[in-house]
Amino acid sequence: MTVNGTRLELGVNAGIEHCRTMLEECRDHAGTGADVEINAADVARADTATLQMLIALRRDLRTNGGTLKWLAVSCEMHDVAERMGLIEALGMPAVATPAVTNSPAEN
Amino acid sequence: MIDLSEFHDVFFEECFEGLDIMESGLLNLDGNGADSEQINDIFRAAHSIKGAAATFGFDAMSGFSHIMETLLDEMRDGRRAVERRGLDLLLESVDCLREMVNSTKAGDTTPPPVVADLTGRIQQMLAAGPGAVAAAPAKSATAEPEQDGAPAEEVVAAESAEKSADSVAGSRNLWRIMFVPFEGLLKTGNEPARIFRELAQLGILEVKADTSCIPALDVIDPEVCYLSWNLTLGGDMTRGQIEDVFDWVTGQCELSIDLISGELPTQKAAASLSVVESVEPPVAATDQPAPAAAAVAAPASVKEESTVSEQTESSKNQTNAEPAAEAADGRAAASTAAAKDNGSIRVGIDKVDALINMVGELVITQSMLSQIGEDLSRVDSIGLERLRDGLIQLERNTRELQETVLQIRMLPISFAFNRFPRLVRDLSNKLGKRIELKLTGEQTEVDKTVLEKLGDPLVHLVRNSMDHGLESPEVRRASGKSEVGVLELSARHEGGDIVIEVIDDGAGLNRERILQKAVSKGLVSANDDLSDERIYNLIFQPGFSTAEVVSDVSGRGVGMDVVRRNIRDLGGNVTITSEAGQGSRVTIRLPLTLAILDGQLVRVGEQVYIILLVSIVESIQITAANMGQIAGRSELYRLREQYIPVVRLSELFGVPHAVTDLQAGLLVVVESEGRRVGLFVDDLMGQQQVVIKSLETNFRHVGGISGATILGDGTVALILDVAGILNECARAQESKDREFPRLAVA
Amino acid sequence: MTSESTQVSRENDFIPADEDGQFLTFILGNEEYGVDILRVQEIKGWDKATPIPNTPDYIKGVINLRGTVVPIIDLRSCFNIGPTEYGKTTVIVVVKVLGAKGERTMGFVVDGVSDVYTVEKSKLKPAPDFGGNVSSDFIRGLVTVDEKMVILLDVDQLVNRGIEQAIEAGSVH
Repeated sequence: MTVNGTRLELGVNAGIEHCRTMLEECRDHAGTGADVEINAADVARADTATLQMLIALRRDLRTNGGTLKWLAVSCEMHDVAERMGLIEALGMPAVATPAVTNSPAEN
Repeated sequence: MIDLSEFHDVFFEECFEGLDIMESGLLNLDGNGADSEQINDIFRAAHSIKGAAATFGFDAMSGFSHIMETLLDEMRDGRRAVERRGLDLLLESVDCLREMVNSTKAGDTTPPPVVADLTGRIQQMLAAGPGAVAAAPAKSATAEPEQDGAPAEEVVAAESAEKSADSVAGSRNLWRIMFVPFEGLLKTGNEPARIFRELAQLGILEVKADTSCIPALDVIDPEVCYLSWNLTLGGDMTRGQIEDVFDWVTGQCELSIDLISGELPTQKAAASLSVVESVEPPVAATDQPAPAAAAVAAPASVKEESTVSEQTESSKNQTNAEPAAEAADGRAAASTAAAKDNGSIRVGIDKVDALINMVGELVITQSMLSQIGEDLSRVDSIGLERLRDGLIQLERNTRELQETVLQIRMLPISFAFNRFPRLVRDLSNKLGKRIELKLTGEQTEVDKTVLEKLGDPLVHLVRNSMDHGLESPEVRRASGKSEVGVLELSARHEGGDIVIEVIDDGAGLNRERILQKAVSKGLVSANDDLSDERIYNLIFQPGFSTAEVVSDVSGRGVGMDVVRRNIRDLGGNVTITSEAGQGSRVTIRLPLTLAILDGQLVRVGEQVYIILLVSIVESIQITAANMGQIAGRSELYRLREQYIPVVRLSELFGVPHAVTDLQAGLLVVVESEGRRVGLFVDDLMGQQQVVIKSLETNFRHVGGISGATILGDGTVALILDVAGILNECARAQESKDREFPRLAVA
Repeated sequence: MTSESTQVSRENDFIPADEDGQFLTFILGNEEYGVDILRVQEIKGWDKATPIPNTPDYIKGVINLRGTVVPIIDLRSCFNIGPTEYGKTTVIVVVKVLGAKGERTMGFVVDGVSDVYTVEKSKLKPAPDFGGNVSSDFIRGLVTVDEKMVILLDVDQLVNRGIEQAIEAGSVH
């Protein structure tokens, strides 16, 4: 996961093994109220740890007047989120969008 | 990284349980025809093992279970007939998988060579075609599934109509599942996403997540689980199947599974739901072919497709939807009542033992207080009266607590009996005999340790009956018996004991041969007048075997004396009776509890010994007229019709200052395995509950002593081993008898 | 009933003979003996033991140690040091013995307990085999403390080899 401006890029493995690193990067945005774009096109593995963390991130951004925009989300990650009933909480698009688009699905 | 190795033990345990389920399920199917619920249970067991093995990286195991699962899947879907060849192959595979679990447990994950062979044979069977598929019902013959796909799916659809017509009640099950993981659930390598994926395979799953507990980003610990879920699951699954899915997280979450009713969730458009389907009476379904098709197209696995197609098929083909719906509701209600309530938890046996030890200590303390209460009672006082009442109450409470706690360790004897259907089946095939196994009293409960130690002796007795007792079909026919021999294993409670019997209707024991053998071994003399009873029980003597050809099935008679020793170690005894030509009956008698028993205190000199009440026949004062002696050596006492040897404990144990005048002391007549002896003591003291402490833990085995206990005053008292003393006696007696003529001995 | 007993806390087991260690010393007759402090579980006042039939005299019997049955060995009798008289200082040293079957708890009756000494391994001298009361198999070494000779015992050898074997040999069953 890298920080590129206000963009969060998730790597291939976004599972619990990497959650601490991801947490650090999420925290960089905490309290800023920025509009963060998240690119999860490459994610092959995601789980509860990651998703709940992203929910926390989204909440934090919105509390401070910002947004979390999903530029792209891989089928795998979308699948996991859908299976766990977390699409709404994450503000994910209704369907997986594996390609990065210029007009991100707004939430 | 998360280290999963500490969870291996639980995994192995659960594998064994799953394998047992598979084995008994397969045995049940054999001869009883296809039972879809049964096959499904077997399938699920294989499925669980596969998944869990994969989680732990035991790929060989996972791969092998997968191929077994494939075969089972075909059977449960009706794509393959359930017949002997397939069942035999699966039974062999269960054995192989068990072997794999055992060797993995021992640290060796290389698959045994038989895996490749069995895998090949299963693949052959799969490739060769389904065999005679169960007849597709006429009802749905005209049903044309809407989806495209392989012919297999058509068969599935045709089948499913019949199944769903039968199990329409099942397809109406709607479960509400509340799943609240504890914080540490993620850290143990468990992942709710996986669990939900599995649940979705059982039926239609609707997921609602509760994210309210997720804390702020600056304090969140990502490895802690803050989410909980409310799920609804509809389909023809049982509670057990749902619980299986949550197996790995038992104890790490709050889980409640409730059967709601026969309605399935109505269609929702929200994207946050995973798979949604409406299966109302045909009207609704036929109005919405589109979502049905879409739902069919979406899921990846064949299984999900077939589940969904079942639903659509069943709704389309119901010509009698209304009465079916009513019947469904009725049966759903019935299934709630019948649904096994699986409210249980796993507890380490060491915790149970610790609890039992504590209760034991409590018993000692309570008896100590009671003793003080007794002593004080001689002083009159209201306060003391109340103290006494309190103590009586305490005794009642303690006894109740003790009984309850001991119950925890009790398990039904079916655990020990369960291996026999397979064993009898295989062995009767091998021997070319036809043998029917009957099990009675399987729910009789026995202490866990007893259960474990009972296994081997029972196996030996059963093999013995099958090998030597029960005859071949020809022989049986010739003697006018039915060709099928009957072997019965029974268990029951009797008095304070548990009685287990192995009964066969075979040829019975050969009295003459046994007597001959015993004489030739010098165990008895040719002139002895021995009862049939005595003769039959000689087979428990070491080295005894009258089999002319030692078969590899039950080996030499070495087994019988080991059986008796094992039973004795459990504090019980074993005897055999027989009728020539009719059969034999081996009776094992064991005390119900091992840990706490009732004991009689006796005084010898300054020492106090304990004799367990179960061994005591009676206690009497000696009348000189009834004393006898043989050639000035062993003393005998005439008790009614018998002469019993007298053992002076003071001599046996070297206790000084004891009463020597026989008329001044008491004779405690004790019995073990049908033999009696009189123990001469100074006096009887009270009775008390005895918590048996081992002498061998810190010291060693002492002849004539079976253990120790703590008395009310805190000192240690030794517990007499009646069987041991009797053996001593018998040995001494028999060697003397050879020199001198003797009186009839019991 | 139960006499006072002092518990000695203990972390690990056994120190190899070639390292510095601490020993609890006690008196038997005129001699001073010692055992590895890490093996000593507690020291208990002498209490009557329940005799066990058909065992050598130096096995006094068993006592109840907080619910466990523990055998008591009279070392004085065991080493044939002379008649055993139990007096005010007589105590039981409760020790952990390691053997083939695992760990066992036993008690030694001694005339009195002296002190705990630290012994430097360099000061430990081997025991000459001059056929004294105690076979050199059971002695880890000799050491001089305050001008007294202390005989350091090997508890495991003493119990597993010496005493067990004697019981075995004399045992009827």
